[in-house]
Amino acid sequence: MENPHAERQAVLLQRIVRSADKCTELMLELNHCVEEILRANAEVKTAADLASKYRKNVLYNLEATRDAEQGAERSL
Amino acid sequence: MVQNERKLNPIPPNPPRWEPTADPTVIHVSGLDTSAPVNDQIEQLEQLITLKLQNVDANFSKMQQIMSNRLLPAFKRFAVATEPVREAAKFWTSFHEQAAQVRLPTYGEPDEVPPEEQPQEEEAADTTLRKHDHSAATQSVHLPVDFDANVTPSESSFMPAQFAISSTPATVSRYHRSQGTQLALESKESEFSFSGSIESPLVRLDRDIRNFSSDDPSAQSSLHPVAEDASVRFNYAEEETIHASVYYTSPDKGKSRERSLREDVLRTTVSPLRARGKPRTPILAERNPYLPEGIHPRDWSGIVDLRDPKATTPRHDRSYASRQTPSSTPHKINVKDDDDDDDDDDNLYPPGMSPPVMVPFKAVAALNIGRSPRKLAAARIGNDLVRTSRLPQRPPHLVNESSLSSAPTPPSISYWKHNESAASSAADSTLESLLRRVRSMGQPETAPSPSSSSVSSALPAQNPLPSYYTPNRGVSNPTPPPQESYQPAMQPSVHSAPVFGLPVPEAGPVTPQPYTYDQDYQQYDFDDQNPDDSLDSLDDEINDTARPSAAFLLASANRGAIDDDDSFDSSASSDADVSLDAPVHPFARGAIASNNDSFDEDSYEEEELLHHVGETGTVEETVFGLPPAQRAARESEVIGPDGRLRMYGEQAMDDGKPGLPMESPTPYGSGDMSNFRR
Repeated sequence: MENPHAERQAVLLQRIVRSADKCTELMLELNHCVEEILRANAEVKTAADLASKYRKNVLYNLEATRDAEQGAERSL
Repeated sequence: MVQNERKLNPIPPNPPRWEPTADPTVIHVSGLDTSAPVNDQIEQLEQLITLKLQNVDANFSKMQQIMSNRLLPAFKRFAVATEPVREAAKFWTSFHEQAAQVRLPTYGEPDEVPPEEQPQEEEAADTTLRKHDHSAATQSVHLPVDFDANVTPSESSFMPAQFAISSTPATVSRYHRSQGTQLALESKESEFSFSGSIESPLVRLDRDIRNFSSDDPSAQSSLHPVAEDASVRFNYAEEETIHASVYYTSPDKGKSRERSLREDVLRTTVSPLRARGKPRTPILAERNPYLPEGIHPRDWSGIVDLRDPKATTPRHDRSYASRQTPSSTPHKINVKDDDDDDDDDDNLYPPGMSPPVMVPFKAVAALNIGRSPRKLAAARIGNDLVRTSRLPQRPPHLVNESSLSSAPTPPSISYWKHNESAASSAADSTLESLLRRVRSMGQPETAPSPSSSSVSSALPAQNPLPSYYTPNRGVSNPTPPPQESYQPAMQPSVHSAPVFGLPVPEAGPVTPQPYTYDQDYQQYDFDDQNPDDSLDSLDDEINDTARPSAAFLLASANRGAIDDDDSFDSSASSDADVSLDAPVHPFARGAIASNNDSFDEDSYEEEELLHHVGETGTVEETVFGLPPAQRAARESEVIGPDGRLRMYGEQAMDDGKPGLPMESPTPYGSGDMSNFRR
């Protein structure tokens, strides 16, 4: 008496498996897209880091030179 | 997208998982009517199962639809939309790199490009140079916090958060490695890192190597960014104008394993100032374009799935390309920068950043101080090397050459070095005698027969020809024989010696080299085999070893004719595999007494050589004549296994290989591999 259930369930299982495979492929494609985006973001991030780093260095340099100038002024 | 999100119903929590129990009475099924008879309950269970499966199927299909209809298009739209941002970031990173590059070769001297940037950075670097604590105190305080706040651990795992900051090559590469940066694979690697710009190309190469090879799980990377921030930060200012040597003094953190490797590489790197004149790029294992992401170069199985289009895409080419064209960004601040950068790129950013593992071709060609055309010789050498590298198989008996052909440059270089080192050997006499012989032969072509006969007689007497072609029997010693043969050539004429030393062994058929090639080759061949021959006239031509090719050719031709009979017999009896032997020394008759396969080659070649000489009138001094592979190939082409002459192209038919016959009769410019399709 389980045959009708088994059949129905088998059909459903087949569909499930098919859907799962399709989903897996989609997920992989999604991963690729996300990776590309991440790479792009990383590049942007590095550019931002460069700029911020540069700014910090400039500020530090200004501070250093300002102190040096002040020191020189005082000595003079 | 947000609106869609709001419409979604909250996902109901999953019912508690069913714990398998042996006792059926304990199992509780929610929808089951426990009061019904057992069969009905079973029926109900089955129906519940079916319903559950239907739900699962529905969920899956729904998931699939959402992904394909919304997610992927959204991601792709996002990627497309952010392309300008990417370009801008790329430009700015290249901008910073170029700014640093300009300074780099001058070791901190101000450069015209971004002037406002240089003095500041210089001063900052000077003040903070080797004052790690000082800079670290000022910088490390802020950055770690900022970066930590902005970057989640998962993101940091993907992104080299401190890319630009980690000026220290060690830090940078360490960071890369720890992060298992897949991102680093892209071309951006070399560009977005300011420190990378400061770094010597070798450092960048090292970093790229790590990026290729490092596939550490992101979990590891998440731990490192925070720890490395401090070290990274303070190095940044330093490195901007720092000596390349400063790298190595930077504090080390992170994986000691990587650090040591990187440092070793860095220490061996050529400083930017020294990195003039294109260093050659050794194809490192890490740069394996087919290396799948996430696999260590050492773990590479060597199997490339060509079905996957990504596998066939050389990943580092993009990096090279991007590196080569940093100035090609849409925004160009200074045209000067581009020009300077191009020069710098050539000097500092060549794809092969690390110092040449193998002697560069230029050096090899430069060895030929003689009048031989460097370019021609270099081109020939390159062709030979390419040929050897492309050769699919090596005859076993040509092991001596196999060692050479396995790596294009080293063999010739090793030959060359061996020749240099073994300057004083008994071969001197052979070379001188050979030269004398050649001279005598060249002058009046009346003496060819006597000389050739003497030569031929001497040849068999001579033993294992110290030429390329070691008796194919299992190859005795790969290097000594060829070295010996080259040594004699070394003696008399230092200039031409290197030429002799260069013959590139070739395992298989090789397209014929220019005739000049043969001449030198023949010369040195004579040396080995006819020490007794007296070619006093050649003594004067020591410096023109490549010159007496006409005489050589004639003499060799005569000799070849004389020896043909012997060679035929011997060749018939000789191994059949000789047909594909690596280049046989054209005059290695003595050694090849057992297989005189080269005789016909010699005659064949010499005729061509003579012909060519007649055409040009002056023999172009070259490294040597046909490489052994060519000679062997040609010989095999001419003489079949049964010792009889075979028709042109028969070998191709016999071998069943597609393509043209082994060699084309035309010795000219067959350096290209078009004819060589094995």
